[in-house]
Amino acid sequence: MSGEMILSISYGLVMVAGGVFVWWQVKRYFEGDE
Amino acid sequence: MNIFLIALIISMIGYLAIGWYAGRKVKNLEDYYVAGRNASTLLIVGTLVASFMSTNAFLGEMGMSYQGHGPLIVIMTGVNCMGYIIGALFFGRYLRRSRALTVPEFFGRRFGSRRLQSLAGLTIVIGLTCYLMAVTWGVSLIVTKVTDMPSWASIVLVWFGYTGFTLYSGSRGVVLTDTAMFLLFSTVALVALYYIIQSGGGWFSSLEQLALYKDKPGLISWHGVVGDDSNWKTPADGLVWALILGVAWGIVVAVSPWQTSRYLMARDEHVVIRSACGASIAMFLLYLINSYAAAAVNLSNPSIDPPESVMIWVAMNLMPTVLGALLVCGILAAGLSSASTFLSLIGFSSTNDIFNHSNDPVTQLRLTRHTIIFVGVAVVLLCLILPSNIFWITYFAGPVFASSWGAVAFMSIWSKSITESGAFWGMLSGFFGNIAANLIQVFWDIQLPVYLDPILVGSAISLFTIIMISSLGEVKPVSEAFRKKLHQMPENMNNKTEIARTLLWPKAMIVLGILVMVLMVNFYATPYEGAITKQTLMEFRP
Repeated sequence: MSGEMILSISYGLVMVAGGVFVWWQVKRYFEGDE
Repeated sequence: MNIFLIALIISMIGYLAIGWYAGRKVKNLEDYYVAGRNASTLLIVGTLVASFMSTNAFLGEMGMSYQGHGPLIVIMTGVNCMGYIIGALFFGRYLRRSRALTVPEFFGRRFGSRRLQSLAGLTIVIGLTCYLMAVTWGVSLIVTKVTDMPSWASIVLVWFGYTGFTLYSGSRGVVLTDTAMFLLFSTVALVALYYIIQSGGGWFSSLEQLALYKDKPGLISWHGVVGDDSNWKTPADGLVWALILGVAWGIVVAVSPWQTSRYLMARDEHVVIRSACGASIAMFLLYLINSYAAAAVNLSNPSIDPPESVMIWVAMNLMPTVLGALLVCGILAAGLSSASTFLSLIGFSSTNDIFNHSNDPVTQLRLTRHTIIFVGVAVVLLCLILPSNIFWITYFAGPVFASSWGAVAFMSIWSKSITESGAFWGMLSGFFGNIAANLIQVFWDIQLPVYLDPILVGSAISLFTIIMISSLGEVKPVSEAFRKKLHQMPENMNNKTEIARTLLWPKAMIVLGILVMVLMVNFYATPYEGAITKQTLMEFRP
């Protein structure tokens, strides 16, 4: 896999990971799991 | 009078009108300092991004992309954006909960310490005055270039522009003008990309030409231009630089006053979280667009000098006159929005945090406005008197807060053992640690390795100092009581409808991340590989 392909995938994955993290934090905090 | 000056004056009048409209609604101190704590998600996103992206983003970083380092800027931004998420979740929403008027006031109340509040206020006045001078110079340079006005007249015009709407309306006006400016520069950045790509023969044609660009080999490869003539000898050097600087600037967006103070204006904690997601998305896309656009300008003109003026060249040469004028206004808007935020924060901190403020809100409001006039006049005089070649002084002014405030900010929420003395000396040592690391580089002409970036050195010194000093003392009961209170969720925050609305933002981030991945694979990586393969086959053809 080329560096450009890895850059393309990982750039999108950063945003996906950020979204998953916020989603998990909001569920955990506001819905009373914390 | 040329079209650029006319557009500039019209846009200034527009900002003043917005400021006048917002200023009429200022009834008390909360309105002036924190926009009545009633700002919506769009307004907080607008002011977060507009405050962060100043002339540096549209001149310095786009100049870097034009020279072939756009991919590193993109990698750095990917990491940097996560600072919004970490900052909002682990500091910003608790800051909002404190209902302080300024971030230094939060520190002061958290540790029951007037000296800490004053110190934090002083770092704002010193750091942001330098940064404000840098932005004033930066914006006035553009005005001089596009209008042929004398330098002094440009400085005065720029100063008058941002002081005018900041003075009367305070944060109420700043969030509105910031949002208008954010929408303007985001839109014109997209329009500029269209014209740049069209002048290169369309998307796939321009991408193929850039992939095989001989003068700057590797211009849009994953690592950009590297080698003996570049700052980075190998792709790995570039990658490490981008990742470490991404972390450093992530700390800046997570804790710096010109970012976190925006959360004090949010309607509630849900807006804090939503706007952090929104700012992260906006930065993520804007830097991708800007970096690629600047690299693609090489196809139209490979020898723009200085490279930082690449977008000004685009505005004056590649776009229709009216749209070019709008692009210039957008770039100026990026500078003016940061300047207005800095000016307001300096005024607020001088009045509320450094000097003993009046207990009478009306008197304090009047004092704050007088301070803003004084600061504004001082800044414009300094900009006129000092030679602008001392620009380097201002270079480290912005990130100094990451070192000075970073550890104190997060530990003020999450540490049971940080003491008032630990926080005070930690903030002071981080501030001077950062400045010392910068001065070593400037005066001794030493290039520190990237892992010794002044932001990281200062942060490490600050953290070490906090741990050492705190271990020698005891936490005041009032201090711990305040911290515990910060962790009590307000009753109306667990409303199911509001939670569902907040969850839409991380879902949007996930969908957008997948979409960007698919688009980049199909419109960047695959055609790039195709162009390289085609060229390799041609070279081997007998």
